[in-house]
Amino acid sequence: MSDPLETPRAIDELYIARGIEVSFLRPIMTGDVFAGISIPGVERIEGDDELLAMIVSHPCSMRDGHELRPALQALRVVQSPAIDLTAWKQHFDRMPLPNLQGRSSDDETVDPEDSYAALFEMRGRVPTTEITLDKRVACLSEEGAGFLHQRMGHADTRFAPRVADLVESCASPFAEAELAEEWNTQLLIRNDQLDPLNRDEILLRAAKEFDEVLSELRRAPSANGKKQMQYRLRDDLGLPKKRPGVRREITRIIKQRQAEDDQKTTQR
Amino acid sequence: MSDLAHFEESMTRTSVSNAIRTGSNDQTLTAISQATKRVAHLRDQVGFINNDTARLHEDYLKLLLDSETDEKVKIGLQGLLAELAEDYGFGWTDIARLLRVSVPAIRKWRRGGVISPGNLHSLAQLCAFLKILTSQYVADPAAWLTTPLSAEIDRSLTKASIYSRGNAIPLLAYVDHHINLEQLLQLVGVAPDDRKPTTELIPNEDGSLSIVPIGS
Repeated sequence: MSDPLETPRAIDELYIARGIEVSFLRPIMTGDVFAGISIPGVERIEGDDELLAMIVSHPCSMRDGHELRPALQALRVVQSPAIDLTAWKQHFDRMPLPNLQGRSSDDETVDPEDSYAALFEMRGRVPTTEITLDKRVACLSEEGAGFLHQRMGHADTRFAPRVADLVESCASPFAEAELAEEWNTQLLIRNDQLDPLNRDEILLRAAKEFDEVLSELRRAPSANGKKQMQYRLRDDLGLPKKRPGVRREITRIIKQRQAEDDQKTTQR
Repeated sequence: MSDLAHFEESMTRTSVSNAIRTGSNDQTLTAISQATKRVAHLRDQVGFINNDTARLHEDYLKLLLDSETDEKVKIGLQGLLAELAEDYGFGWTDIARLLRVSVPAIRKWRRGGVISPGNLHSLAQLCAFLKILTSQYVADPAAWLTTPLSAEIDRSLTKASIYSRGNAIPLLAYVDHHINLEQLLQLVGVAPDDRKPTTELIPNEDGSLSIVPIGS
């Protein structure tokens, strides 16, 4: 009988960013790890010196519009003995997080000093006000979040959906997060528009503008040209066949806004 | 049918027809037996020619891909990344999966980090592959690559997953209709048991997707 729990091919498959790679321009997502977070109802335990916590709310249900919900589900992340990738299946109660903070440049082996695990038993709801971008130390990749959901679901129910299915079911919100980061990178970083003192406010405003672009009702002629079809970019983002077209459209809008910004700068 | 095969077939039919019309049962059987051998021989020859031309076609596809790749390398790292993201609409995660590298590696390259010659070649080859797809009337190569092969095949088995395992040439033969889906799957080594879909994704009212085992 095949084992229900899958394992990653390599350590770096798990993460989008760690340590200094982590960008505050990326929206908060499932699988992000933050330092200095108290989790209500979760007592202190050995290995939690840094008070690390991983956000585990599902990506489809962590926001209302462009804003995070008032509280998000989180797991306590503790220092843990190194678990080899081949031994993941024996540790049902946790999500191993090898080389979590990217302290070693070598991902071929697990660095024992940088070996952590998110514990499924240690779960609670953290007020969003506690979760600030300065505290983020790592972001799981889509595959990493897939492994997390598989293991967490299996710990609760002893049923393990395939990682590929879990990744596909979350592909749309992860694609949206990647595009939002691109939006912020291209529109906020240039021309020094990101004042560090008002950073969170500026990011929230950018998130609102991006959300409005995705939610805007658009019209396009139908295939036979007789009717006007209505659609939203956010809906198209949920369809693998249309996702590349949404990215191209967002790129076009970004370039248009950059040109408008440049024009305003020239006129001043 | 080729001229050679057409000629052979008409000759065979004529000799058999003549034997039936004019000869005894023994002569008829002999004629049919000889004709059967000739047709079998012809079939072998056609098979050899088919195999040879398939190999030759693959060689030329490879030559085309290599030549286009050499041209694409000249664009440079940032140009290639821009082409993939802006012109084709790939996400950074898609590109990482296609090249079997990590997402942080792609992010590092975007920030001007060093890329190995091997990875630069892989990036250029992907752009070259997409250019050839476009020349084969694939309107949206990124969509073509990242969508499932068919409703009867497991969704996780996309053309992108086949490409990422080093199968650009079989995919080019497939898009050109020189091989069918079954032949493609055989060529890239996907066992029949690994092809069947076991789950489907059902949209919920809020737009999220639920994973449902097939048959439930």
